[in-house]
Amino acid sequence: MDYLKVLIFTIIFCLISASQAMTLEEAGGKVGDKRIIPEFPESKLMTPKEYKETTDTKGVILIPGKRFYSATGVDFDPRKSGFDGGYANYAARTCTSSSTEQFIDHEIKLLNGDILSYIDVWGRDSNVNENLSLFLYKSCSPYLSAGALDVDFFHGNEMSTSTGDFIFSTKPNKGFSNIESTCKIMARIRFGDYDPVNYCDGATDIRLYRLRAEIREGDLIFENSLEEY
Amino acid sequence: MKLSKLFTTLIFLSLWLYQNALCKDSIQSNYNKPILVTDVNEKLEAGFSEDDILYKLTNKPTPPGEQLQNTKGASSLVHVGYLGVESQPRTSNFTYSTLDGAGDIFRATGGSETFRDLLLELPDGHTFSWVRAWGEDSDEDDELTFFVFSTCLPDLSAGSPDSTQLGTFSSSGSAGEWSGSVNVGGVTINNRLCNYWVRTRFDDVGSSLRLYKIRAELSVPVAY
Repeated sequence: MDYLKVLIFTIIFCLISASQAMTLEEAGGKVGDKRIIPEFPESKLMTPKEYKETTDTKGVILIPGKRFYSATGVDFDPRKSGFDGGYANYAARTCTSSSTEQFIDHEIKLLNGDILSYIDVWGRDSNVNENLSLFLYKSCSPYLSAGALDVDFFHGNEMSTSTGDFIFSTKPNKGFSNIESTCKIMARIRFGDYDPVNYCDGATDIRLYRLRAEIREGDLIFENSLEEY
Repeated sequence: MKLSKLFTTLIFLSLWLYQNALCKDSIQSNYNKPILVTDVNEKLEAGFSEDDILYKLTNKPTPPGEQLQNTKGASSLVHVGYLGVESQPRTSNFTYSTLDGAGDIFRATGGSETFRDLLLELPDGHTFSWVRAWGEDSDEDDELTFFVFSTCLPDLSAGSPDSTQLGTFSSSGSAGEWSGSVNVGGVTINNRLCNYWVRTRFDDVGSSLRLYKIRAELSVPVAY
């Protein structure tokens, strides 16, 4: 009976491990990186309406304690040089069928103590079979010693639409410390479904227009940014 | 007595509101109304396609001249600079190399792409006045041409990007080391809605057309 329990536990453990490895691979990470994706219980996909209701300050450029960081699609860097990027003229990025890479990365410029409130992504996806995906990860090196990068994929979502122009909003609401001294916060975009053989083939009509981060600046009262991540 | 105090307060309040309205008007008058670019060649030369919607800023107010002061310490000026190698190719087919290996780039033979795009990471609320570039142009027939754009999307809904050309300038002549600038109209930076970027067009291959650096000049907002 005990053997049966051990066997069942082992099978469940293997299944969980396999699913984690698969998920990280789909995010362009590797086995050994942290976090099963998505694991962000307090985060939810928000419709623009919900978003508007919670944070509408339209027309106001400078909001005390808050700022925006944004990047165009073209400003993302390919994970590997096999990425053959196309364009859609207004600094939007596409992935051509000759690509042998489908991930592009961009740093979200934060300061120590900043809280990453929202991430919004604009793009175009009229493809009923393939989607654009967003991943967020933290990559840290040891402060004063040699060592591998400590990578944590803390967020991942398919921004699934086939309606044409779209906006995707999500709410990480996480504070970060040790920015620049040891850690970087990165956004990663995947063109199409994960396909290590055909890459962007079939997803060349998907465009990344822009990524915007809404950042709440840390308050000295909350030295650890409410919750140190 | 009470009535006179109330009257005085009302006068001060009216004066304050009037002054605020004047300030607001003077700030808003600096916002330019861009015109739609209908010349297909003008769009193609800037790396857009003929069907793209592109606006152009005209009748720009002249901001204070670029200031050649050392901006260490307290200053109302903010500069944001990038080396040529920090720009991104419009497509991956841009083949490039460097001569000095110090952030300078030139277009090398082999690629079909001629444009590189540089995202300007600018602070919210600041007044964006100038873009300056440095490079080398010792090519008699060809130039480096720069286009400064703002590209905006709806705040909280899906949409197609609208681009506005804030300014354009070229390296002229063939004297070698070169620098030029353009007035971009004193627009107020709004990262919530827009991105600001510079596109560089390399008209020819070879190290006679090199991009060293691009710099944006902004001033700190005085009042809101």
